[in-house]
Amino acid sequence: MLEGILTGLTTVIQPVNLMMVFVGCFAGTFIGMLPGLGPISAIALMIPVTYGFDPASGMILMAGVYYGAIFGGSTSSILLNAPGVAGTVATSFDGYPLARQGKAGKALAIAAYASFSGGTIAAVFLLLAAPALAAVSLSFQSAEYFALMVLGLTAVSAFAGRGQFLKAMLMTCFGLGLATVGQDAASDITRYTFGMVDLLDGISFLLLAMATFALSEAIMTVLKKDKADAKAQEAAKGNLGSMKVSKSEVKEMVPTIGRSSILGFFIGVLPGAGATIASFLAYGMERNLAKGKDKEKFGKGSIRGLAAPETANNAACSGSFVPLLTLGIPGSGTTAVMLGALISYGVQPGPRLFVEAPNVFWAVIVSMYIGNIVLLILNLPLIPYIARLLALPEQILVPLIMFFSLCGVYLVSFNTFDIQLMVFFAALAIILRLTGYPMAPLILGFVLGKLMEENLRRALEIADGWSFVWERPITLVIFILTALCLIAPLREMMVARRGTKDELAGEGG
Amino acid sequence: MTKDRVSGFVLLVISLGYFLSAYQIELYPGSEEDFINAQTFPKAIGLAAILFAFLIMVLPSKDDEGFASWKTMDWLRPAALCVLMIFYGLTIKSVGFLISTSVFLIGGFLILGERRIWMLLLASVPIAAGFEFILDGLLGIYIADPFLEWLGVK
Repeated sequence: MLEGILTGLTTVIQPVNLMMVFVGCFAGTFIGMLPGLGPISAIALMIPVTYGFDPASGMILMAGVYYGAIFGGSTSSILLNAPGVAGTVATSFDGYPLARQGKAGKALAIAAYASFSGGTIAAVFLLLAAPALAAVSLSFQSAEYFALMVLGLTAVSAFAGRGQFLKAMLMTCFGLGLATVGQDAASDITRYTFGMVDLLDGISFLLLAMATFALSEAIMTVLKKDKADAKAQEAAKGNLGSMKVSKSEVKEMVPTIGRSSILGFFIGVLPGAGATIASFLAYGMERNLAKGKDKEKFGKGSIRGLAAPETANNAACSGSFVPLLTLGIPGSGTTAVMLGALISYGVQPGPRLFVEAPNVFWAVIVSMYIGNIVLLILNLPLIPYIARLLALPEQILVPLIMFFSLCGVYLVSFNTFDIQLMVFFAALAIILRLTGYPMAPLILGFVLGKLMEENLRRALEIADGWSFVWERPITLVIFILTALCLIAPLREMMVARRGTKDELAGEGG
Repeated sequence: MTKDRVSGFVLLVISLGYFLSAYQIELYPGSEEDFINAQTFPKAIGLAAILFAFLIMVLPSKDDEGFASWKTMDWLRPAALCVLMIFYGLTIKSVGFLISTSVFLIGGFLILGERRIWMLLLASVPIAAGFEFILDGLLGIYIADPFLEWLGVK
């Protein structure tokens, strides 16, 4: 392991890579701060920039963007009560009340310390867990990979939230369906191209990610008439107050940070869970643990209530790298975009990554420590200035984001058909978002689609039939877990529905 | 009519179309009997999509408010932005990167309500020119620009 850490450190301390950490954290903080734009958009927007880079540098940049975006989201949560990222919604519960009490500076400082601690502690867990899991997963065969992918996709939907399960599953199927467009990898037979030459190579992952996230999220801010502009201008120009955190406050935060880091990391490792669920669970856990006056403070500016979700969401970000780096299976939309980027660099994540490209594997892990330090350095002194960026008018920002999204895709293929296809997918994504369909499962399904088909083919050929499902105990266990992930939300839906019917019958009677 | 029922129905039709199209995928002779061929995966996905779309349609969520909120949304400007993007895609090669990007950005700013001429020009032309210079001039990525070629700059 020490050798690995040194390999990672040697890669990360190269000036180019250190610059990547800085640029990634800064760009992520900035994009994540813009209400409406999340980490997936932030990473998608950075992918074209990384195409010419070495895979390790590209991944370092994207990892920086990821936790930068999560932190940026907390800034807008605290200052505007308008979270840029779902993972920072829980931050606004106590962060915004603190800002309203004139303690915005303190709230931002607490968020910065909590994020730093959560990220750093989780990086230690990642350091221990990733190589161990990678070593175990070296024995995995195609059947296990296929089963894990099915489990990952189902779990993402199962965690999508009440009433969202079916929609998330349908979006996953659509993502898998979009991945079948173009030539079949095994037989070269064209599928779903409708005679269009431009679709022969399939749909570009970058195009789909940009259209369904960056582009559609930017346009959605125009569509919804709730204007945060005036509030943003006010927050950006306003005085943030002192950023000092007292000794007693630090004492109050420390146990919360410890608990939330552990919880956040393990939630992040689970497929489908991630920063949003981690932050809500950590907030709920702290509120339940608090007693008396402390409990009453929750929702009114509690320091523990702010530190818990902030720690957990950053810890979950680190945790979500475990399945990506060790199994090559992303557990969330954000890591799915990273997987897509890695594949386009020509790097295949998974247990072989640990053996074949140790510099990428270790550099990402080591860069997390440095990234967290950079975030702290960047955020504490620069927050008052970064907050001013919130005052950038929407009428200037939105067309610029659209331009970067379109050009990011066009400058890779130089095919104008891609621009038209992006507009089509962005329009479709907006309609789907408005009808409550989540986009992350779509991108996850799309990224995993080809890999899933390939592994299914190999598993069927090796086992000479469907017996691969039960031949190896581990495959069977994974499939049973998948079935549970499918049945549990369906059962919950049925029970809720029956409850409603009974209620209605009661009202009628 | 709830959003779930309408969207579920539309997506069910799309899923059915996808599933039935899977039968149109050509196969190599003899591969029909294989455990897996080019049709297998799309058929499986299609079936699953049909099932989920059907369930969404028949089991709509309780808190579905319908399409009432859609009426208060600003549809005109996003639609105009989409038209602008299509126009950008049609002109970027024929007119050239510099002009089409500048027009695209100015158009976007105007649609979203920016009226200050200095801002319109400052946030568009220098960005387009700077972007083209970095990519074409510094990084050596060739960007076709008939306008600059006509001017003799490229």
